[in-house]
Amino acid sequence: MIGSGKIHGLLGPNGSGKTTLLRILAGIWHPDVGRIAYPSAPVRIGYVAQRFCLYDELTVGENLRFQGAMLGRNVMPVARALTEFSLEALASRRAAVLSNGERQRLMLAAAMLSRPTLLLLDEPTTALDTASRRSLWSLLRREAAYGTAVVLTSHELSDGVHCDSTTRLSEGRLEERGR
Amino acid sequence: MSTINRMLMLALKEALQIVRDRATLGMVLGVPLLQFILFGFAVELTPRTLSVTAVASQGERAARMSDGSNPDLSARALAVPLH
Repeated sequence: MIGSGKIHGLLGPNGSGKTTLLRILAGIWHPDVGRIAYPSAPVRIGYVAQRFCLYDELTVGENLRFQGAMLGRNVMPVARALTEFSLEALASRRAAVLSNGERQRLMLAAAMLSRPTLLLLDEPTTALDTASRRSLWSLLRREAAYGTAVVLTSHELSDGVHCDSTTRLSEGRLEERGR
Repeated sequence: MSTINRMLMLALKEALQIVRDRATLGMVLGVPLLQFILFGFAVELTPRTLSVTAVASQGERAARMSDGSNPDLSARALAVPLH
């Protein structure tokens, strides 16, 4: 059970099935057995992939404008997204020259444009330095405070301390549920 | 946002990507330019001095092909007798 306003961590080593479960939650893949039960209210899902999947040749602002245009109505204004994710100074900079932390913020901003009720992040802390990690956790905590349910994967068990609840996976099986 | 607007946005995004990526821009502009030069000056598409082997009864059409009546077609005809 993943509650709104909470951060849930799927923890485990590489190959344990974290990404598979996250993709099933996102509706990208279908489970062989079992099912995902969503609440009756419509669920808007934001998905942040492990690898950078926006456009290197476009600037930060152009990437967000494009994502917003593709999403259609009821999206967060780009100017607000730039402010909320501290990207204003980078708005005219191409995505190709951003640091890992800045790219992660850009992907998070793009995922939040649709104001999702469920935010899924695949290994968001990988390749981030300490300052970028701190910034990311603070952004995720803020989004959770707005009522968004956050589910993320990590192979570092220490990331569990930032989560409200955790699930440990090993070789495709649930090993332990924490908090 | 309407479908048309989305398509325009997609076209704009593609155009920006092509213009800003030197390798892609090089392909988009360079390849047609190269083809223009090659096909305009270097490549001859009219078949000339084409060796043709016609299989026919001896003394019939194959023999007539090499009568020199068509100066552009300097095909070398070889009559192969059929048994």
